[in-house]
Amino acid sequence: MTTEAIENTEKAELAPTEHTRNVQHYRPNVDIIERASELTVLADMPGASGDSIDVDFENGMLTIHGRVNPREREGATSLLCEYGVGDFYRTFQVSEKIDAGKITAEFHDGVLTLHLPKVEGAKPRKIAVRAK
Amino acid sequence: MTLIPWRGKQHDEDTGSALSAPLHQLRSEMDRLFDRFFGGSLGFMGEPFGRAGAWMPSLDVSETETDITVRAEVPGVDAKDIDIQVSGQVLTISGEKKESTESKGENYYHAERSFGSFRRSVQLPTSIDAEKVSAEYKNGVLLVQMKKEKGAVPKRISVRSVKD
Repeated sequence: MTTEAIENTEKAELAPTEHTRNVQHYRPNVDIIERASELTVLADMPGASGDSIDVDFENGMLTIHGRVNPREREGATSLLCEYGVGDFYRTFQVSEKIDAGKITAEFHDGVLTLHLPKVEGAKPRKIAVRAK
Repeated sequence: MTLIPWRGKQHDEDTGSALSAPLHQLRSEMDRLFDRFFGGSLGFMGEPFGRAGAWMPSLDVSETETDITVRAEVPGVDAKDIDIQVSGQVLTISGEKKESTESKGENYYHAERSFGSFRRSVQLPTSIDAEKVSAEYKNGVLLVQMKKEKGAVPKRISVRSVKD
């Protein structure tokens, strides 16, 4: 997977470089877990909804994009504003061989869970050693 | 800077409060040191203690003339694990984000998400009607809506212009 350094656990702002929608983008915090048969990606994306999230896997690049509606605050005065509201966007270079056709995704309580099953050949195979 | 009450010169000698100014300075210096070490939302040394340590959800508070709205980003928490209390003018949100526990044969490549219990209190600008608090949790965002107490809603008083 990527070797990008993890510096902080706060939701980090991304520089608005290559996006066409004029909203702030944030990098979701993720956990990536390798299991014997799959990679599991968990991403905290509070405020996104299941049908507003796009997951793409192409040429070993996994892209997560969750659209979040901006704050609606008509006539209200902000007293405390500790987090920004904007889209979630993050890409990963996946080095493991993934069976792209079998990728599944769920979204519950603001957490996106991706299951990336490994290609059959990439799964570890146990070879039993027989004692003579 | 601390405001030191000015006391007449004659008091300084008999109460020994000539020391008070340096003591105040020392005290505020210590306060600043403590603030530097323990202040900030990230806690000591700017990093949360370990993965199971406490974490603080980010809050967003806004008000209109009649309502106060508090939002908090708490992804991955079960709605029944969130506890909301109002006491006086203080709203307290606490809960626990549970980690999925199947750790057999797992390798973590990234571990950025926080788990564990959290607790945040926020001082509200006015007193609220405790009977009219509603809370909903949707897509990882907690929304608490409160109505200001009748006496706290500002009343507009129009000014008449009077001619002589």
